[in-house]
Amino acid sequence: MLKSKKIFILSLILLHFFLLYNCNNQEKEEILEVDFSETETDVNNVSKKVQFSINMAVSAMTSPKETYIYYQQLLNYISRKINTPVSMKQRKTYQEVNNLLETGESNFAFICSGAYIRTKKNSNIELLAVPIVKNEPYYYSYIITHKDSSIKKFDDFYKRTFAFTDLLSNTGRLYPLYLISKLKQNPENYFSKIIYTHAHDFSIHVVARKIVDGASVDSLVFEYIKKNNPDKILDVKIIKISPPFGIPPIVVNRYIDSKTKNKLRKTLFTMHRDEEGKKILKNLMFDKFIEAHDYLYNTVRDMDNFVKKAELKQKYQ
Amino acid sequence: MKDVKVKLRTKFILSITIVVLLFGSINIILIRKITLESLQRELEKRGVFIAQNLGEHVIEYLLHEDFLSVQKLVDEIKVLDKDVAYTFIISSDEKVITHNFNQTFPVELIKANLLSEEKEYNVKLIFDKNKRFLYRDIAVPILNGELGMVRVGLAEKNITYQINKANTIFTGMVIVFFLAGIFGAFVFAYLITSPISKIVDGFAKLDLDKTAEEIRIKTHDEIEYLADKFNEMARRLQSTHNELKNAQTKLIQTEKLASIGTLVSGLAHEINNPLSGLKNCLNRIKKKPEKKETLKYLDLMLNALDKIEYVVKGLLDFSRTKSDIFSPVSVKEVIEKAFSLVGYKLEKHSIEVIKDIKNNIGSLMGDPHKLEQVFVNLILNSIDAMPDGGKLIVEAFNNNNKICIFVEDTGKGIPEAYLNKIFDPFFTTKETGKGTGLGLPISFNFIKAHGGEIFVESKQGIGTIMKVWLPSHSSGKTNRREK
Repeated sequence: MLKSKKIFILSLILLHFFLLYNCNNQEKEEILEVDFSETETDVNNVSKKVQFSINMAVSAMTSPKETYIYYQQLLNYISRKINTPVSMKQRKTYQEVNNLLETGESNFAFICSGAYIRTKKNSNIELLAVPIVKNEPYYYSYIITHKDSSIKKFDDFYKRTFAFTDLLSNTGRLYPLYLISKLKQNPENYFSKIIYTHAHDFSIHVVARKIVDGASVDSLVFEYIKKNNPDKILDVKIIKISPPFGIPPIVVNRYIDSKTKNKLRKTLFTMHRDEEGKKILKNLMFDKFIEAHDYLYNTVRDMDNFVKKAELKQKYQ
Repeated sequence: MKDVKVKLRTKFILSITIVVLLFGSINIILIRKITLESLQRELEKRGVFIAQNLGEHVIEYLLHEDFLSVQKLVDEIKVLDKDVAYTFIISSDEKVITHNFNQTFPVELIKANLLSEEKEYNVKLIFDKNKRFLYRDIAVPILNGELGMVRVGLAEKNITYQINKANTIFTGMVIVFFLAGIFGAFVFAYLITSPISKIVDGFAKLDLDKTAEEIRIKTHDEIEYLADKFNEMARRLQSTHNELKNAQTKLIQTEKLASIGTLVSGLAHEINNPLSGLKNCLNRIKKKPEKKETLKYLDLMLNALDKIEYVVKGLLDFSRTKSDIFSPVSVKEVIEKAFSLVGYKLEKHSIEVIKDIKNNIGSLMGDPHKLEQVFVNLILNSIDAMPDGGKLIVEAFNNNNKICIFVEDTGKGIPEAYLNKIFDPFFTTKETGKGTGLGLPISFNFIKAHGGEIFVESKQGIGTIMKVWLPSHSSGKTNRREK
């Protein structure tokens, strides 16, 4: 009895020390010694390992991050095919992208149809290619509102809030302006408030969150989101679809060397023929790229002229 | 009752305290470890959150090559969170895009925490050799590392300060809990052991000669049950004890009556002699009452009556049943009284009596009647051992506050085989009807009750010595009531 009592007490103490040892046995974190006095003043320069000889500009049809992800695969593909590293430049506004092209800072770019028609006749920008979507080189403007909204037609937006994408956006601004002009109104008076989102996906987001009553968005972006992030469009509904417009083209700076231009054109026009290219096109929801023609954008140009005339009319009335 | 070496309460308190200390110490370390780890984890999480948040925010600015906005964001982080010691952003080719160090940038820092592929973040402890500061450096990729990474350095001294603060609060809590635990141990030990102590006290105070005090415990548990059982047991013990005591008294009385039976013929003879003298004197006075000798006869008659009265008083004293009160007793007187009862028998059996009772023998505290019964028993046994005469030597002396009384006879002696049994109740070698077998056992108990001892030495054919020693009055050992 006495012996078992002693054994019990002894095992209690041993258990105690075992637990104490285990509790204290912490893994020590590795500490790295760094000499903070080894300093450099001029570090604020971004230098790239790779020297990019070609530069592609993108106007943010969607948010910058989404745009980057969207075009990165295509960019890498083009780089490999033309055997020249291609970098990407994004700018907040379409005008900034146009400027990059004009000045030659960027060699080629994906730009909006609205931005394209704003380029001057003697500008440095020329068409290179257009994507084919569902067998046609067209896209549309979707007028959207919240799914619970009472708005059923565009006229119902009178004195309501509305989101435009960019000053040069065709689907995101020009088309609703055209609709308002046809009503012999100007947007500032027609809508109670206008905001600029600088990205079509953000326009969808602000409508879904009821921050604005409506927006006009690019059908390509809307369909892309519908396919890849259907949750984001659950709360919005399309109340009007525009007539077809010439799809946003790929343009080049006129002074890009013809060799590179040809390489680029060849790559784009043939990419639907190889597996990798096909896959990238599928992700972008494009069928292929074809030769671009300026007449594709005549409808947009007509619409722009109509709006301009209407604006002038209103100004001098 | 045997003394308790370690009290139950002490054991209880010690056990609880040891358990509290053993497991409390494990708890302290375990909880401290968990708390500190979770605190560290939380702070690290915060750092990661800051870095990831910044990483997400700068994407747009980096893509737009808007480095001014990037710089503004990086500067804001340092202002908004005091724990952030530094923040910088490096490109995918490990060049610094922007930082919030004062003017110069420590280049070694760039390679100190590099992200491996597909890792959401990486944390490293970095030690500034010069300022001796420790930083928790968090690296977070921007757009999966395509645009580079954000690096945020949390000053570990701030984290350590918070940890120490938590530690101090925790230690204080632990001390309070320890003290509360030990205080609780004392309280619980008292609550649990005090009823047990009551029962133990009840055992200690249990006196079968007195009415037992009931133990009253109302704990509604096993201890109350135990107390009830104790009370019941005490009542039964007391009743059994009383029955036993009554039986013992009856036995003593029986033995005494047996002794009286033995003595009565001798006493009758002792009374008969003065009665005859009384009768003669009365006859003579009756014949010539006017004679001058009448007064002389009356004196003789008074003497005879005194003698009768002495004998009768002796017998009455001897037959008295009990007297529990101890008083100073003269040993010499007790022995003489015993002899006065057995004188006739001694004479009848022609036994020569040699008494050697020292004058300085002193007195003792005791019951004279019981002591007298003892010596009557011893002398009667000697007489029985010498039916055809012999010598009876009674020696009494004081040796170092011990009164020693030896009763020696020259009788037939006791067989060696019986020596161990003579003090056993109902053991007798006498003929049926002559002895009860209770004389020596009762004498043994009486002497023991007086704090003394009795021994026997005997040799067959030579004789027997009964040696009695009793504590003298001055030794103070018998100053108590008989048990």
